[in-house]
Amino acid sequence: MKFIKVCAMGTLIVILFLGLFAFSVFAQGNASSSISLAQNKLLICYEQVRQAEASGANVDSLIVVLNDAADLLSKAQLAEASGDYSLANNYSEQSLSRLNGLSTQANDLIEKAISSSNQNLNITILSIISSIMILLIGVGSWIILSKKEKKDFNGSQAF
Amino acid sequence: MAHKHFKALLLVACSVLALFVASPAIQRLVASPHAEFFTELAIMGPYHNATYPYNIQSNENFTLYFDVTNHLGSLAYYLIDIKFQNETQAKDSFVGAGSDQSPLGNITFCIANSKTVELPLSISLQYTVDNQNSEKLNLKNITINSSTLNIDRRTIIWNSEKQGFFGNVFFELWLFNDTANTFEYNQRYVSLWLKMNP
Repeated sequence: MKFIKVCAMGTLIVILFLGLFAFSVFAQGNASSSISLAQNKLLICYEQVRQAEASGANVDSLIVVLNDAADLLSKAQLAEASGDYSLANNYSEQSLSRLNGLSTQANDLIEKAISSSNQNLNITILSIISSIMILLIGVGSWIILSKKEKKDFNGSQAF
Repeated sequence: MAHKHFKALLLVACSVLALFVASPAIQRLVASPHAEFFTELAIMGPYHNATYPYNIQSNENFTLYFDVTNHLGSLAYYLIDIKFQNETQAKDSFVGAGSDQSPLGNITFCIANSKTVELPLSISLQYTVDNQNSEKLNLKNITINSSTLNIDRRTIIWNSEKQGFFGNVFFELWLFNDTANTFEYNQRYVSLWLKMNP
């Protein structure tokens, strides 16, 4: 009877240890995958913000969000390295949620920047055409005045 | 004669006006030359200046500030690796491939073109003198921004010439390469030697 009790106790302890070990492995895996997700999301958002910047948009507000998310990600990685997987998971989820909506904002800015760039292009074309016209008017006036001057000179000579 | 003057004046006025009207186009076409693309990295002490911590005690917390300026012409994504080494591990310079030490942690951040970012980092080291050998310092942990990381396999040997135990925390700057889709060492690092008093 005592032997059975000892065996049962032993089995219970082994199960408890295995459970704890499995939980720790699960928590570690969960934190790692959460960090990896946050890293990928941050990279995607960074690329979109970069595109928005390249298209001429003002991305200052988006960079603030990117840096908040990057800071939380760094904290998550440090927490993971120190073995605090629940904190790591918490930070990486915060990082992910901070990035929510950033893609949409970046795309909106890209669209606005493209439309503004088209407007600028129109202004450029208009300014080139206008300046050419002004130059032509100047040269035309010069020619007309020269002809008039010549005519006046010939007239006065004939007279 | 009056005609001649008027003609010249008209031509000059038209040319000036044409240049003025064409200025938005000229502005777009003439891009200012950018001489060099690089990143500035500087380390500041607890008072945001060049007064750095040197004599430290175990568990003593100190704050460092990193000033990073982006001169790359566009938004950049950076990573600073935090590393630690003792005197025997120390190399003269990490320009080239960087250090082969594994990082203890890192800080990631983005900077817009021509902007500077200041990043605070609080560090403390936990260590004890070896019970059997008083000329050996056993490192236990390093705490970076409130996260305690285990570094208990590292030791520091007493430097009889300089009369102390010396450890080196150093920080390498890595830049994200969009084409390779990975961080690459940016050939920039800052380092801080610490006299670790028992």
